[in-house]
Amino acid sequence: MEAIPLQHWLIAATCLFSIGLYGVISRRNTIAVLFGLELMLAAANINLLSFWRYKWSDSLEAPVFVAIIILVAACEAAVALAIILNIFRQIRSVDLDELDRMRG
Amino acid sequence: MTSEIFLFYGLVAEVLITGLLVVGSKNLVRSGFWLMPCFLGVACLFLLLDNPLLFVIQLLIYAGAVPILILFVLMLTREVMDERRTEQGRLWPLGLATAVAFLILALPRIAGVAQPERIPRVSEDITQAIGNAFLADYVLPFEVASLLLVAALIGAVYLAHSEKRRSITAPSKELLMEENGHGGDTAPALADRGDVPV
Repeated sequence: MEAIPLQHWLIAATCLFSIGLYGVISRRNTIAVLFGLELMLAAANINLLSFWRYKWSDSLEAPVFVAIIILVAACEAAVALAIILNIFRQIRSVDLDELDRMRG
Repeated sequence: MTSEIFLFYGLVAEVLITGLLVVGSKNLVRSGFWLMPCFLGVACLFLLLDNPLLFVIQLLIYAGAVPILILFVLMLTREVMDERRTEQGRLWPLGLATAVAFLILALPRIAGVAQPERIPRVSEDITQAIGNAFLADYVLPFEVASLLLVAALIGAVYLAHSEKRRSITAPSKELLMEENGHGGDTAPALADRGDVPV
């Protein structure tokens, strides 16, 4: 554990974050955008926990924060998928290019 | 000591490769399934960071529940998203440029992060400590989080069901037109009554 430099954790998390960023921007299906979003959240969690482990592992703020991030992200995924399902029922598509109305 | 190093780089490689497959593969169901090994790797990274509780949470919620949920919705909404349309959108050069620009901006800053000279030890009962913290210092966020869970649960069920109920009581225009085409003059009578027998 001590043999791995902190920077390598941060570089790994940054790479995962930019992979997620690429997915969010380039995909056209709304659900695929959600994939990228989840990857970005995982990268943020790795970042938080690696700073916690290397610098502040005698406090408990970071694990509590990460647990609540995971919970909120799960809620967000559930509501987003319900909204996507509803949009699909309205216009028979989940293509982001075709979602241009606020009202069904 | 060295086994941890191998484990770390192996796990990072696994997470990054499966992450690339998630955002890159053309078949969305396949990329949804790649999400599971990716989050499994992230969970193992949490374990490597000496946090078994978050390992289990990540394993249960991210490697288990969320991809299943996403795959269900993907399959429910998939009939119009055939192979031809699941490919990358028109914006993929922009996405690539943004991701590379983010890397270029972030990596020099990471190089400036100093390795701490003394890494504090993690107590053996970290799980117990987190549990106690949730019921003592962080009891308010804990309760608010449980409220949020209930709200999200009810909201998701409501959103996913409301349209179906509406289409039973008040048929949509397409449904009426379809019935006009097939059923002759019975459909207008149904439209006057405002409901369709199921």
